[in-house]
Amino acid sequence: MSDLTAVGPASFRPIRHEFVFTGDARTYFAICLRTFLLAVVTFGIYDAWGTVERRRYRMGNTQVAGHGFDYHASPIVLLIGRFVAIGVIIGIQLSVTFLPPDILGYISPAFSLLVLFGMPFVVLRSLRFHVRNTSYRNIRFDFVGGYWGAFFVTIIAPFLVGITVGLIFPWYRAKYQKYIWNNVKLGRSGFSLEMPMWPLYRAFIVTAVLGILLTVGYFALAFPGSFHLASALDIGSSVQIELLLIALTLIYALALAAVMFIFTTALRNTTGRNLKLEGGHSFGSNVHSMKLAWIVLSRGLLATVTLGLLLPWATIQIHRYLVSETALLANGDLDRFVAAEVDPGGAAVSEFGAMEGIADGVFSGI
Amino acid sequence: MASSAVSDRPGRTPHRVSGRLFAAGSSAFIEASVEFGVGSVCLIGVDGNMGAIRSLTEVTIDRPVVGLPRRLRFPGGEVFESDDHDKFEAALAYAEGRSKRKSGALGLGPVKLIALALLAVLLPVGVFLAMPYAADGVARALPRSIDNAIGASAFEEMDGRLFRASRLAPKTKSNLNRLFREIVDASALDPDDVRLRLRMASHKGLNDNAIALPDGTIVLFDGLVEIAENEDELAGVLAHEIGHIEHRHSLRQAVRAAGLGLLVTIFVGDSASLLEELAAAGVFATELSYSREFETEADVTSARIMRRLGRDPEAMVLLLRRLHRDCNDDCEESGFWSTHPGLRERMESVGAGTE
Ligand SMILES: [Zn+2]
Repeated sequence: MSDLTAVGPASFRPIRHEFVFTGDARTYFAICLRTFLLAVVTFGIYDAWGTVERRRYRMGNTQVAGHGFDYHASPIVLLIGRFVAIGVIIGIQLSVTFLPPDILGYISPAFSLLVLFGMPFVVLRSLRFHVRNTSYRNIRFDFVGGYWGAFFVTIIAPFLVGITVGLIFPWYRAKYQKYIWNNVKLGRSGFSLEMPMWPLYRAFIVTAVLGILLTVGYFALAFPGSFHLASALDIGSSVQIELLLIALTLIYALALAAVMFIFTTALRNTTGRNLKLEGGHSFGSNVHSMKLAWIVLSRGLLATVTLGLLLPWATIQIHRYLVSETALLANGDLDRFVAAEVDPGGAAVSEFGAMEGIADGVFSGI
Repeated sequence: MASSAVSDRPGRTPHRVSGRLFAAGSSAFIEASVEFGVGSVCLIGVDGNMGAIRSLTEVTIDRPVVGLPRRLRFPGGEVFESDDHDKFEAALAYAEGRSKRKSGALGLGPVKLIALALLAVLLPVGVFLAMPYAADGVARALPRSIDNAIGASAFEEMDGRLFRASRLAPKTKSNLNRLFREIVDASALDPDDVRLRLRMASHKGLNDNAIALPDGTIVLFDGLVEIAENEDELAGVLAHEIGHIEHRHSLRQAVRAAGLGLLVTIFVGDSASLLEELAAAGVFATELSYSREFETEADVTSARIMRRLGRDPEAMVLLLRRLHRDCNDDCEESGFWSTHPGLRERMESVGAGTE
């Protein structure tokens, strides 16, 4: 009998590897400072190199089972993408300014159609660009999602959310996550994601109820209350009432923002806990919504009031927390991943990469 | 034993770096080292067996990122990875025949860093100050037909919707038309470039005003005519509006605004939201300063035309003083957020050049 338990499912108990962030905010700050200064003196051109270096630092220090991730995007490709994006924006602005209204009347519906059908393409290419340029232990990730899948999650699903006054929002977010993860591969091993809906709907209802309560409370206090409160506290001056209102509004805005984290955290955890990687690997995600809200809001506030000076520090703090609450449940060792094809780095491949980078530039530019 | 032979003489292999080797397209790795020679690199297995000697031009070395493993990619697809940054950098510098790069996230000495920071402050300021001149150069190079197209479409937009027909007496209208022709003839504008025309109109909000459209249309509102006490006051206003057209202020404002937008995109980019708010306020204030600059330019042109006709260049400012008599001293000084210079300053502009 004891033999049976030994060879049963218990013997396939996965090995738990926690994700860790091994970088530090000081180094990241120095990288940001140098790349920012170089970007300024080169009129923004160097920022393409800076963006890649910063991302490589963040990803390389995001480690699991002793190895970090790497990012391989070519700065030149990013740069071309940005030029194209700026060209597109300038083109649009010029045509809006200089074209006569009657011609613009003909062009704008065609342009709207172009945006409608072009947007999923750009989102897809941008996603694919980032995923394909990411690697772990010498194996590149791949993204194999198609256009109509992207069209569904970027155009049709948001439209359905709109006509159902947001009631199917959790379904839409789940659909989006599934579109992404069911199309990501690590080499030849595919990821797969099944999303249970109940945790998402539970979080959605809690978020909505708290959000409504907060809003009702705010309006009940702020408008009629501001005068009663003023007389109750015996402060007559309108300046003090103004200040009181501003403080109340600030508290309301922060509380509402914190409440929103209940849903986003549930989405993140549900995705993480249900994600599988071919070969019997799975993941864990244990982010605490209020802890995340505190980290993001407090660090974000500090970054804002310092005009972005503390943004690198805030970025690292948030990233470190998210990484630390993530785990890989590996089925055995991680030596068996195989690249989809040995990338020869040929010209055709980089040409293709350039197209994707351009799509990415357009996306981030708009 | 080969392996012990290798480890026995570490001193003789100063350019050997240990790390791990991933097989091509595989996540499996083995312990390995590489040894750099001048212009070459060679893979060494854990057993001490040497691989083929590769020229540095055959391998790819990833750009270093502080604290992260250095990577070297062989043409066959194998990837060597080392956590020993210092040794890797020293060996690579030896192989490439150069001195060691500064390590650390800044990668720059204090002198270079200060120079860079100084340049990063001075360059945007310089570009910001030089931009209006460049933008004006661009605007000057553009054909007048663009001004005409913008003006014509703007006029169509406003005419009938914003403007009502003028209620001035026919006698007054013909007098104004005669006055306008007199001023047009005294202006420096070539009638082949722009066809100047006067249109009289009435409007509820804008009524005590006059506007110039870039195609040469000047719209004079009834209220201004009613408040004027003599011909020179209106002549000065019309000459001022012609000044706007002569110096192509609409187009220059548009090109300068585009240049400003470009600079903000380049130097502020997508940073923290508060900085963007500040930048937007800065852009607004700068555009207003351009507007005041153009008003002064139009005032100077007005005075030039008026003097040529033997009319009083200061009459226009007297009319404006009467118009703004309710705001007393506030209208006399330029404000940071005003579109026009203060009346005291405008009096100086039209008075400048009088003997
Ligand atoms: Zn003016």
